[in-house]
Amino acid sequence: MAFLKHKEYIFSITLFSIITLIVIIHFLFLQTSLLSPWSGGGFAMFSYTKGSDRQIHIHFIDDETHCAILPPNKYKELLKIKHFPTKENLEKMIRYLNNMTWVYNPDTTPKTRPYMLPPLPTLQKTTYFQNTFNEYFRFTTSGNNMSPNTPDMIPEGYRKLLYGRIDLIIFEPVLDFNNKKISTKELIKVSHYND
Amino acid sequence: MTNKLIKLFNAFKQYYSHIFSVTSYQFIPALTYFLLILHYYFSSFSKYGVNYPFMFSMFTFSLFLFFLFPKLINNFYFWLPLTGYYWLFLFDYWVICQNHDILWGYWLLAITASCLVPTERRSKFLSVNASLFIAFVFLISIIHKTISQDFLSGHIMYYQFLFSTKFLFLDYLLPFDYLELLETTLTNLLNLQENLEPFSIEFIPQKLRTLAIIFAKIVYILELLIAILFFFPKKFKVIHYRDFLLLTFICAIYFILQLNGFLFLMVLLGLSQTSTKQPFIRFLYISILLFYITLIT
Repeated sequence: MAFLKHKEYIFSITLFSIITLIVIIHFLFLQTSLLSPWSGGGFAMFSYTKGSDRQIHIHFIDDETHCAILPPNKYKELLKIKHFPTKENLEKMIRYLNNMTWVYNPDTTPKTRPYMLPPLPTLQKTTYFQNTFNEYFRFTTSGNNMSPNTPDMIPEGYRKLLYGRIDLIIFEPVLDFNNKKISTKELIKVSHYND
Repeated sequence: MTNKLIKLFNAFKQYYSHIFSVTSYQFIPALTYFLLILHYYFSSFSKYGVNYPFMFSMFTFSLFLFFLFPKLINNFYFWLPLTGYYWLFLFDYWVICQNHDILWGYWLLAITASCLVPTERRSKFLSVNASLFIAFVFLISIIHKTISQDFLSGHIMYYQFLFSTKFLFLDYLLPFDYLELLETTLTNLLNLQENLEPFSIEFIPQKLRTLAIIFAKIVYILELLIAILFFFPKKFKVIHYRDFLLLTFICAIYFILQLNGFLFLMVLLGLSQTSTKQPFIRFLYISILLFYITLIT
């Protein structure tokens, strides 16, 4: 242990022990959870097709309505659950989403396009709404915190969206090389029923 | 005229030898600082770091301090708050931020620790850690690529060619309209993500698949060689090729993918592990860095 007489060896050993530990933890999470291989400090990017292009869907379901929105890659909380989805995180998020006020403007097309308040023009797209590339790529990655407050006021012309169930689902594209087909796989789904 | 040219050449040679023969610890901390700020500007981390507005202010403020008191760059208390603040950001954004942001965090820890090392051993400390960082990152990457069924089969590169806008240069190389193909696949992917409608990729030429397999194998071999060579101690002759391999990887992969964070860091780590007896290698690293910065700006 003569080499330990220099403190730089201790620094290096400590540093590389931390990195090794993080890589091992990342590897274990990769095997046992839905952590994306592209994130988490495991240097597994460009090694797996899974984990890239994940998409979050929020569905509002009632007897007569079924609205679906794809939240933009803008909020830290949503980005976290996209890269590392767990049941607990999704349940926390769905409770938050359920507590927010959801509105839609019956005078605009499509009528099933709901918005979360506040801020008004945050979430976009419905199942039946085909976006342009510009609209899609306008929302680049950022790390805003989601607003914790729900306003009492609903803007003029908007109506409150009524729903019996809210679903939060994370999908991932799956490339089937043999059949030359690309489809989606549901990674995790959490539902919340309104009383 | 000839004498004047010889004098000019000698002056240039002297200047060149002087610049590229300084010890690592004299320029690596300052270069780290400079590239960290560039990385902040040119990578997405400035976008997702919106909850850390003081990070940029802090970097800028410390830049002024550095200009006023250049000796601060080797001061432990100069680096400690910067590294600490950066790690606060990393903890909060661990699963969101990219792997190179985390690698920057490790390198900042090494730079901070180097300030506590005696001056005569500081260059060696930086050199050893830089070599190990490079070897370690490439080794982990190779392990994942080996156990993954997607990489060597070419699946991941094929997927990237189909859905990533980073490979636009392929349009010049391939005998078919790659841009039109990419537009179609991206529209289909968008539709898949929104409406969950599966789509067929039978229309895609086989050449793209072949290219993906070749590309994957070249990347794999390069990464494997870099990982092995950077683990070798300096007494082995074989390590003389490692800088050229790393430079090839930087030019071939990071230029194409425009991974600024990784490119800046790999140049920095490559430079850190060079010795004063390798002015030409240092010149190559600096030239590539300057060329890339010119391109992205």
